[in-house]
Amino acid sequence: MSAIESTPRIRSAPPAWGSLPMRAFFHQWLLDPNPRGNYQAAIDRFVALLIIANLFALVLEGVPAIHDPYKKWFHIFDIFSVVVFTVEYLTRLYLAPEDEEFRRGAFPRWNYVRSPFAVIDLIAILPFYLAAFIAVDLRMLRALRLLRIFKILRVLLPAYREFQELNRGRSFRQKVHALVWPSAYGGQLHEFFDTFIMVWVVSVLAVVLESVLAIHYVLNLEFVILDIVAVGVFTMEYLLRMYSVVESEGHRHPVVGRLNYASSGNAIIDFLAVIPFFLEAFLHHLFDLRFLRVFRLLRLLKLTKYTGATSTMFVVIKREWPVMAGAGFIMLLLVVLTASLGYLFEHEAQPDKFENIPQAIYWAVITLASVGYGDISPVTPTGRVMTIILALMGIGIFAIPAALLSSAFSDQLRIERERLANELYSMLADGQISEEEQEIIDREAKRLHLSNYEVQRLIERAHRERELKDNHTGLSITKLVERPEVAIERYREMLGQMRQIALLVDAQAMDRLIDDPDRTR
Amino acid sequence: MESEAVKLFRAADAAFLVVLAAALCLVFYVGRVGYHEASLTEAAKANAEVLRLWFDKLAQAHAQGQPTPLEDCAADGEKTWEQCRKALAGADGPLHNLRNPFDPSFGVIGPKCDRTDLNTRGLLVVEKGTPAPPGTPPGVSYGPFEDSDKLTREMPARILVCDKGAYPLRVAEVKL
Repeated sequence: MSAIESTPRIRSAPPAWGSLPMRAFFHQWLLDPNPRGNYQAAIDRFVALLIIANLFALVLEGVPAIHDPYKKWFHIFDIFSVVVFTVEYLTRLYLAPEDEEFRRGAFPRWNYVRSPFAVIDLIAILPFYLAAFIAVDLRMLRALRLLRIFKILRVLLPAYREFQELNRGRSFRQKVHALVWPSAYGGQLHEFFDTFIMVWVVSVLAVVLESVLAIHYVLNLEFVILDIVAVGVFTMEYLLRMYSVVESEGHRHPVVGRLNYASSGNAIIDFLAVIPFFLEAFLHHLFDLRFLRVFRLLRLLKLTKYTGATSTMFVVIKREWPVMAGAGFIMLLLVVLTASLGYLFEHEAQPDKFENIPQAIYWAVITLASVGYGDISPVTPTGRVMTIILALMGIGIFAIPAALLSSAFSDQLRIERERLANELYSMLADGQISEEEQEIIDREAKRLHLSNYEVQRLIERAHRERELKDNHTGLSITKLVERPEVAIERYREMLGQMRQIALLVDAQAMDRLIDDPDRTR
Repeated sequence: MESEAVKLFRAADAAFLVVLAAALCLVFYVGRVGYHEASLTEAAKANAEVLRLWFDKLAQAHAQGQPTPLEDCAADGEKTWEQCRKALAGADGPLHNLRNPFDPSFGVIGPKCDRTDLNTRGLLVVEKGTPAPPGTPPGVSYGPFEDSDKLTREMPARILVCDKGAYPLRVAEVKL
């Protein structure tokens, strides 16, 4: 067995082909939430996404400008969805006897068919098949297709139940906190909340499409509705966060805590995501506020709180700030110097282009940054020589901050991976990884973009180091107390060593040393 | 601490829910106003579509050598834009039955969209096109029609509509 295979894991892997009867095998691979690394989570995610896509398709079908030219594709998507949902229903029906929930009783499949989720699943696909045999009004058919939304309950209800269980006996505000902030109490429902917000953040792409005149002309009202709903969602999110932030460490005070949060980067981004909507509505008669519409793109910044890469970048900038400030200062000096020289040599030859030093700064920056638009260029021989020298210098000077950031970024990633390795090392003090520790590892691995293989390598390294240390120094007293069988072994080992020492060492010399009063000084 | 929290759905929680509901109501109200204004812009765009269809008919009539639907808009180099504009809004014109959705008193057709004058909201504006002179990159630049401008055959024009903020929205490019 290789070292990686022998490293600790907490949940069993799905079975190998042939190790179980086929139905049990498929159940464990496709529907059982317990085996680690099977396809259950991926299937659930795919079905959930398909339900959301169906919802969007239903909404878009109501927009003739979109539906009419792509009617065929909408129909194909509908057939695809029904096929997937039907396969899902039949698979669940076939595997029902393997399910803990349904196998009690004589007729597991009948138990499944009667279960609320199965009824919802059936309702989601039945209208499609009925329409093939019965003449159903198209509007009625669309209305029935809306029932597919209920399929989302298959994912939401268990998450809600888990959330209730995790938050039993907690206050309303604590529950709100658990829902909107990452914590041990949030469970899957918190993840759904985050996903829901992220979906709406992506709706900001409508701002990009609005700038395409032909699209905006046709879909003006739809964009307005989308914006209203997005602002509603973001306003709710902002208020929920503001209200419940006092449950977070460091924000306990009801006023100061909230003010501290309101002045944080994330809260400012959240605020900027909604405020243009209100400003434009109330003040557009007084000021030209159309530019605020572009600020709706700031909503994309909301995504930064869902990725660890951004926080790593902020850490890097903060860490390297003194060096970057130094490099920036040199750049500034160089720009001013270049602009002054440019003005000195070129002003007489091109008074319109090098009218003054501030105007020459534009040329200096474009030259030093190696952009070189070419709209302003030196014509005098001295000016050209100077430009050659400065352009070469600019390559080095302007590259410094980029190089600094890039090296600091990879260094920071290395530090964070080291930190994870150290955490793994301490987690392995008891020789195993608990479920809670595994969750921490998974979270950190996701944040640091580590593959499963890399995580296993880190675990293996920590495991080896731990073994090495244990061999040399033994377990700590605390650990020995926790594990009596190891303590007895260690005690026997130490007795044996003492006997060996007593036999091998010169007894008279040892007696003399024991009696020597200066020995302990 | 935890057990203290258990029994409490405090007044502050209720107050928060009230604030949340009020905020969502505000979003709904502002959204409704925005939607209403957008609907008015849509109605103004529908007016512009009527004018666009009429210009298409005019171009078709010119191309086929048929009489123009409105004599005062004949592109014969004699008729002026003022005559044509009045005829468009006149009893036989395509804009006769149309109303400005923002306020009927604003009129239906106007000289330009002026964002400093909200009375120009919902107006239809027709701009004349001037082809680029020979030797320059091809293209047409558009500007306001003067009342005294003579209408000529194949003259490019552009239909605009003034939106809720009296900003021009391009609807179509047509030819006389």
